[in-house]
Amino acid sequence: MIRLAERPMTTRLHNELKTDAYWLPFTANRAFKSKARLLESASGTRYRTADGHELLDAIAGLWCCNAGHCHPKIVAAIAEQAAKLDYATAFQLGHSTAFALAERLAGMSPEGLDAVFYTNSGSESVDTALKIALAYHQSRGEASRTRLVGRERGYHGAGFGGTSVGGIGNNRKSFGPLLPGRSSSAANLRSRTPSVQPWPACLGCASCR
Amino acid sequence: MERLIAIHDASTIAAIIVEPFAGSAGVLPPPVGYLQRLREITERHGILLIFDEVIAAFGRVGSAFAAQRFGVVPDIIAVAKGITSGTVPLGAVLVRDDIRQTILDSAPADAIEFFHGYTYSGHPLATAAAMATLDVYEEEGLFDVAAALEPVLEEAVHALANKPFVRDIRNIGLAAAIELEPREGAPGARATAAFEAAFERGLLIRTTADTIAIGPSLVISALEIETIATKLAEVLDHIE
Repeated sequence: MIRLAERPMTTRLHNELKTDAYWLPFTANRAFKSKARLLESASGTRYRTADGHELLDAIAGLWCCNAGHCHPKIVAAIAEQAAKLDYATAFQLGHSTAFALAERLAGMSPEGLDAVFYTNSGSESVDTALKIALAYHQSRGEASRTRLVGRERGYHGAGFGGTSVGGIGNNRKSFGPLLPGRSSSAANLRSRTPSVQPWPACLGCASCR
Repeated sequence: MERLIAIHDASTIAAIIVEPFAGSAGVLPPPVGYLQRLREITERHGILLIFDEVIAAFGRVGSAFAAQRFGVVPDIIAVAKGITSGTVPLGAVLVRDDIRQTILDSAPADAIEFFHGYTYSGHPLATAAAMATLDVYEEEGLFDVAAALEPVLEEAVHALANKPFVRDIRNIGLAAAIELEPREGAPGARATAAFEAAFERGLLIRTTADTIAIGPSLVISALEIETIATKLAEVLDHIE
């Protein structure tokens, strides 16, 4: 029998970690807690787990860490900003970085898309986009345009708006009627790599399937 | 889509939202010409076209925005994720200027025009992180790097076509999916086994239902892409 003090540090840490309170998102919680996988640090394309194993990250965190993990320039910019201005409300106030970034995004985006509204996540971006669409039609006197259409197998985040236009059954089934007036058109997206086997031009409506 | 519009009448439809390529459902690239047709139809019926580029923007398909790669300009683009390289939560919505102007003009001059927003909209840490991230993308030419690596990833994943349980393989940009045959009566179980087997071999992948998704950072090397494929081959040979 190995006494606690003789075990490697990381194992001890793992064993002492209480996992009861944390309810993980999009996770099989009961299965996970019987064998918790913990990330400890990251750099470039690699993660290191709490028990010291290296992981090659083939999914950029969750489709997001496109510049690689812990890029020194990004880390430095965050640290510097945190020490200078930690928070500024965006309601009737601003700060220069928010304006500079908006100009830059407008410059990079396709022509004409020159207005930038900030959110904190993709889910909020989708909900905001849907609200902008509704407000736009109302502003121009076509308030009858309230229906929001998504696609089967589409995923648009976890907000009520995004869930309502999402097309993945498991993400919808527990949450009642969601937004009224939402329709999903048939899945168009079956097939292979475009460069290997080009798809026919098709809108995937029922008659084409 | 035309059928849907006919049933509901265009005058009731505000917007259609679509991912230029579906990411979370397992990397489903659009049929050639699909997004163009969608643009034509929505324009004809006065329906706004929203691209959800939360996954697709910032280099994932070799361009700043997927709209540019596919040559289709929507009315609104929703982004997040890659905007700060995941370091600080931030999302943004890019909107046609005249859409914003219409909303602004509908309110009295000194009034709030759009009653929406978040406590952390435009947070200093998030916007600073985004500025630095865009610097890195630019300085290191990462969108071009992604475009150059697309054929490498394509080759690597399609080499898995004859492995056990492989039903379909798809890729676009630096995104790929390997769809597996589900175990009878246990949907998702086989992909979960693949996730665990990959993890044990030092590889982090994503799975949804019975599909394995690959979408590495843009700083991945060609050699590392080969490593991903080699490990995946081992995983597919190993799982039941």
